Amino acid sequence: MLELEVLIKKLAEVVGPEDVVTNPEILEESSKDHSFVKPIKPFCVVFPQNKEEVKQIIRLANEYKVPLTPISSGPPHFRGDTIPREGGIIINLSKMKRILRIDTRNRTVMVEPGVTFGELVPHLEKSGLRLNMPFLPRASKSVVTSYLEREPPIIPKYQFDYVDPLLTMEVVFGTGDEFRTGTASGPGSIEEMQCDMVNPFGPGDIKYFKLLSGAQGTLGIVTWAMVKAEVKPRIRKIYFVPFENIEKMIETKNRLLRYGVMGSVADEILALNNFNLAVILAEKWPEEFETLRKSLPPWMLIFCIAGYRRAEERVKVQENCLMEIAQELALEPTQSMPGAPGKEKMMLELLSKPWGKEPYWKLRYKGSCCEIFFLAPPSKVACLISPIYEVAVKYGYPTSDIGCYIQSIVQGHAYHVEFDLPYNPSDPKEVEITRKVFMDASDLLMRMGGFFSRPYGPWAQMVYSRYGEGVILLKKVKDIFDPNHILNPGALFVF
Amino acid sequence: MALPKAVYKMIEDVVGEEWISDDPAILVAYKRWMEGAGELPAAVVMPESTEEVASIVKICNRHKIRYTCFVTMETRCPEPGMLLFDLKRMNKIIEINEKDMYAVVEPGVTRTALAIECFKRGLQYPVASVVGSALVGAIAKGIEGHGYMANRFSDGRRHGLAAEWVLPTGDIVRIGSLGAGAGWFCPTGPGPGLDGLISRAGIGIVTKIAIKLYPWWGPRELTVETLTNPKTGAIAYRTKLPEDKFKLLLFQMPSVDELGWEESLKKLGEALYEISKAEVGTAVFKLFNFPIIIEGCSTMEEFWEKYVTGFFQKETSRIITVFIEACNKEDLEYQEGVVREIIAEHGGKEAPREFYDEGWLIGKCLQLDLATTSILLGISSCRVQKASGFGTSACGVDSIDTVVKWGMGVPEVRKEFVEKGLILDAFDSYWIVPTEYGHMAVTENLIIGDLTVPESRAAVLAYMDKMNERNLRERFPDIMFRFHFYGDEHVKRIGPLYSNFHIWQMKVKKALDPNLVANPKRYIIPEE
Repeated sequence: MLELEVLIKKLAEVVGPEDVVTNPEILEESSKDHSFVKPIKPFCVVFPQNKEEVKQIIRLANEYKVPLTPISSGPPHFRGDTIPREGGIIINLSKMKRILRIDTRNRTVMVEPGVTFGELVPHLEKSGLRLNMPFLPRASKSVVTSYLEREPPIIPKYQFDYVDPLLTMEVVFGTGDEFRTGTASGPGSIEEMQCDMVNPFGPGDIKYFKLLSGAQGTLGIVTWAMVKAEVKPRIRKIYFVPFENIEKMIETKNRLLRYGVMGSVADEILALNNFNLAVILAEKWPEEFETLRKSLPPWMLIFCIAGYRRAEERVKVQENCLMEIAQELALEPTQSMPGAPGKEKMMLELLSKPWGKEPYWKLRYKGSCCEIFFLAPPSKVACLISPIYEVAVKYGYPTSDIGCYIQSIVQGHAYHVEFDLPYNPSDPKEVEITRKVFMDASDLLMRMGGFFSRPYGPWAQMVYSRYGEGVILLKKVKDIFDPNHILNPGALFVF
Repeated sequence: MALPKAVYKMIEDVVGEEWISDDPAILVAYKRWMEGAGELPAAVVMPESTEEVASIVKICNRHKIRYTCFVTMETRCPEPGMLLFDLKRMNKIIEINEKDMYAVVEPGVTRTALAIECFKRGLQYPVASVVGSALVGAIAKGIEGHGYMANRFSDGRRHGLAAEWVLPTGDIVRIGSLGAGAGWFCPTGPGPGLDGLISRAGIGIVTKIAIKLYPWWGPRELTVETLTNPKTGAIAYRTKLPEDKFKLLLFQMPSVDELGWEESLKKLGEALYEISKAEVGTAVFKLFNFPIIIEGCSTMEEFWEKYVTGFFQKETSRIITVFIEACNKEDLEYQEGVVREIIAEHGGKEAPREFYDEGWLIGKCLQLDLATTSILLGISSCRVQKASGFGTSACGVDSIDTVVKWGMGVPEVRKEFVEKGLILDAFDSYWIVPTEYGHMAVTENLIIGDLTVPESRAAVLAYMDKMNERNLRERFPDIMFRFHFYGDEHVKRIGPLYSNFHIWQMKVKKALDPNLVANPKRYIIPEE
């Protein structure tokens, strides 16, 4: 018997034979995504249902020195992080689906990695809570993965650092050892502890929640996470401001996040260009999309004003603050959407829910899409927009098809800038053009000061080849938590 | 224990002879520590730059000389014969970036100095400590502090951005966006957050760090009034802020006399939840009542006279302080309205006027405009230390409910020490500071003893031990950051109850500090 078959048999003993998949079609599907990372097939996909099974799978992977690539979200995948770069086993956590706790008093929720935004959001609504969610994630996106990978949430006032709203976690390290972070760490078992496990720092002197964030599963596999939820406002009003000019839009965003009650006029606040907004709003495809992309302004700033206790009074104060800023900057914020009247209610709903339709909005235009995203401080955002258009022109990629999304994060201290490049996956020429734009623009933006803080796919090599001093440290960390390098090898390039 | 002569000479060559000393008269000044004496360092060195720090660290690593850093409130050497870095000369505010709202500072910059420079630019640094003279560098050492303004700004643990860090090997690493050549704005990434390793000076020394700043709607320069007490001649400082944007409010919640210890605490906790959840109040907290009392007196004699009457204990049990910063008058009125509504719903009432205005001057009661200075700048008169000394006990930062439950056990633990007259019956000297809109809360219980009296000092330490034992027995989260207080044996005992964190920490320490030279007692020493 081949050793591989022995391993598959042992995996089946752990999770049950029905949860070890070797079907060639599934393996083929698991080998690729919408990124430009080279497809590689796993030799099986295994579906654990609890922590003990995760531990045993990790131990087996160590015993057989077989790579283990964790996946929690459903498709489509965009970033190459779920492709098993050195083959081996995909450990798919999508069957770990329990919502373990919704704590309305402390505004937290504790979920396993298989719980998706599509599943969690309706549950929270019933409890009078909401998540500080990323913008329009697919319904199949894992809540745990999203926050663990530091995807930007859309209400910056609630984000106190780059890992917020992630709180405590349970993780199985690459060694197979179980660990809990922050005040979830102890003393004793979770049932015994007199605490609500909301403090992410520690235990001891290491901030494990930071170390594990952005690691693409290369240090450990998280088996549950506690994340913050927030109070659902009693009143929520949406506002729009159209812009021709990116500098002025950024200035307006900055002002809205530095004034108002507790230092922010806005709750949700983000900006989209006409392409992305048209893709999102079009109900009749493609006619309405074509109309909208023409009628919408180049940039749209979208934000909400919310009221909690004494809601009308708070909203009034915030609206007066808004008008003060608008007057100073000669703007006219409106509650109707310029270029798309009648879509306001839909937009408001889209800000609090994941994308529930098929296909995912990024795939609507051409069937596939490639993302470029990075972080920048407020003063640098505007100058990091135009380079992509220059690169697109160079390779003949249509500039009018570039989607753009700009998100303020960390209480207005930084921005997430994202470009979405749709392409037809069946057209090899278009694929190649898009790939060239992706590679060149990423390199250029990196050199111009864009911070690729989540280095997926080819970015890992670009980023880490410029960061030797950090790589030495990262390797030491990896050797401690995953000494046999079985967890997602190759994903971060350096190990 | 002295440094080897050759080592001393090499370090002297790096910094110059005037910036290193092993003069006993100087060394002894670095020995004091709040709960008693620390160990005498072998020498004190005052480097001026990152390069000098790196060179000295390399020398220490090569010759296995253990070292630690001096920062305010954390002055001692945990063992004899160590080299002590005093980073006061590294006191430059390198940049205040108004557009991106951060400051880049060296570790010798004081919190107060930074706050004042920020005001000039329409920004504020939310002083993450109750002690303004504590160094910003304390963040780099992991003593991140909590301060008062945590409801809106969180605490020091969230304030640090990118950093320049000298590892125990002497290598310099730039963390976050700085390492990727993208500036100072982000501490985390690329990839895993290596900023999760910077703490406690157990793994090297941070030599520059960026700190988040926030908008400031007050005057660009604070005017400070000096108050002189007509009876005693004692002085205090007062800052007046524009009344249409700033307000300090004090509320007396249902007292211990009215509801008993537990019920009154629960009631207060409920009000804290509601205020922070309503997203109002930059600073919202229940203060220790002992400092309230002592700050309200101009001399220690005055304090003792008043203390024995029992008036303060009665009037200041269960006080909630709210400091509102507003962008305009309408905002101020809204926030104040919400706070007052919640307080009323929970049976509270505003504290008498003498708690605010001229009480201190007329020797009547409390002068809490002083608290504004304390909240914004971390400046206090520190009379609490002059009173005789104190120790603290706490449980780990967690929810408001957790710290309220923890506080319920304070009277029982305190009882035996008070009855024996070993510590002061500092009634309700227990604080709760909600952070991040009440998602978490900090707590601390002050133990007031006379540290010059051996029995009292021993009692303060015994109280702390007893609280730790209670944390363990009743399964409250440990404070998780004070290992050096309790020693390696304690850590080895509790580590298995905390996911075996001590083993992981040992592994990290060994990997990054193979010769175990960087502040080893602050960290956990791997088995040697």
